[in-house]
Amino acid sequence: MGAFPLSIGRITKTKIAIRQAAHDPSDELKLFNLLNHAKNYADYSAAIVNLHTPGQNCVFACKDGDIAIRAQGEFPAKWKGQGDFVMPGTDSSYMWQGMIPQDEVPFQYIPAKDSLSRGFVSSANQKPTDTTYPYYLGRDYPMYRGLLINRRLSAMNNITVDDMMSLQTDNYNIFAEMAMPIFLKNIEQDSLTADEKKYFDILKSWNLVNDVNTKGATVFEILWNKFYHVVYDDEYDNAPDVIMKPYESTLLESVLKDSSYKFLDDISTTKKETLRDDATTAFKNACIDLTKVESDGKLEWAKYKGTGINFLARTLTPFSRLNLLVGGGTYCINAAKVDHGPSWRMIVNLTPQTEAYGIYPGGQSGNPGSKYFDDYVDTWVAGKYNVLWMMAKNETTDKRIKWKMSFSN
Amino acid sequence: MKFITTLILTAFLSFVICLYLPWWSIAIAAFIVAAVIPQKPGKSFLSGFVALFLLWGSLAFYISNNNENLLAHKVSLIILKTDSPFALILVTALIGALVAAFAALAGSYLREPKSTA
Repeated sequence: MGAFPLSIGRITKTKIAIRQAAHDPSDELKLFNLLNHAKNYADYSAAIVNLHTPGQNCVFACKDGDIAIRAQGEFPAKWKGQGDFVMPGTDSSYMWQGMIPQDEVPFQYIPAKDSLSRGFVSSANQKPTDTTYPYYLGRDYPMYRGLLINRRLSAMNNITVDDMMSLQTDNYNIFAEMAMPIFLKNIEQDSLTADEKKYFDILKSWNLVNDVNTKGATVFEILWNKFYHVVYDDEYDNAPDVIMKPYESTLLESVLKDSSYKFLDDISTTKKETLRDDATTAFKNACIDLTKVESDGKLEWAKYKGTGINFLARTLTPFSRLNLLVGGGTYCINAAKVDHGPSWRMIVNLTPQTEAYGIYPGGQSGNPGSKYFDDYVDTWVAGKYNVLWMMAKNETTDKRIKWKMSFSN
Repeated sequence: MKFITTLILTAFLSFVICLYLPWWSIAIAAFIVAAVIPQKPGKSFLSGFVALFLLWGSLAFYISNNNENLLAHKVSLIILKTDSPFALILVTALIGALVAAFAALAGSYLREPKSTA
């Protein structure tokens, strides 16, 4: 389950008021109580509607073979674009006019008997509906990981727990897969120096996997970053800094569809720059950074990325676990970024005796002086899982039980 | 002999009193012992100092050693900017020692006018 993103532009000078669904009440205790007693899809559906805020992608699987997903929440029914920008608060017609009815919240239900279905549900917080959906759900949805997950799942059969483990820790970079042809085709290799050529060869021979020791991922990351700046910075130099910049997907899609994309031209020069110019300039700029990165000994992807688990008070760095050697990245299924990512990994196998596996980069103790404070971090880094205990009725006297909680009316 | 007695008594009383009161109650313990058993101010100071240096030093060592100095490694990095549980234990012992020493000095001065008058 992941929260829906809520984007508010950086507004510094003007005072604005916001209305946010997260300010409204929600009854999660009832939700989980009902879920804990749920036996089938109907029970799940009845339970899940008690989740009002924040919206979550709630997946469902039943031992009878039914599966489902629901982008559950209490969402304002907005017209297209409502709330994307600041609106006049003095005019009540700009207020929320109502909520999306609960029976029209996006969901997908695949009964076990539906043999024609693709046989899985998935979400990586991508947009849950297509253009036929009557309500506006905002624009800011990441698409790449969801695309890759669906591609992988479609190709998999008789999936085992091990298959799911390697899927969750998959470091394949689908964004790079789409963006690489732009660079390989348009960078003018003749104009590169010997040193620059070396980095170009690293990029060219990269297998598009953001593994721990790969150098190509570092080259690509820096190159893409420079490319974004080369394309847009000249226009934004003249803009007030409160303006939100385009999504990375906007640049990628634009250049893929239109090799004479308007913003490729550097408006500060008289020359009309092309995609070839921008790609080459970006690469040469990237090489300057890459030389420094390499002399720091950080050309390997995980060292360059430097993923870390921060203690809440960030200044107390000895309580944090920094510079962990983990692969992945923003556009990988294993979306381990610098300071956030796929922390909770869980796999539940609905065999007659339910098996479950889970891990998160932390520990069971909140005491920094305990060895159980962060002992799961290394397991998480290694992409391994702990076996979770799905307690059965006859295990109520098990010696692993340390405490009991009693409720009375 | 008096020195050893005050030393042991200060350490013992500090240990017991800290089971019930905050850490600074070691000052009360050292003050009382120095007031009850009169010594020259310098000797009182020293007995309070040595008593708490040994008590807190060994207590801190014992507690920290129990979890392989796990917390001391981290906290020494935060406070002393160097990874040294030993230095952290030393600083702990010194703080206790100084607090007790000055309290004992005060306690001894309480008796001083009588012995000279």
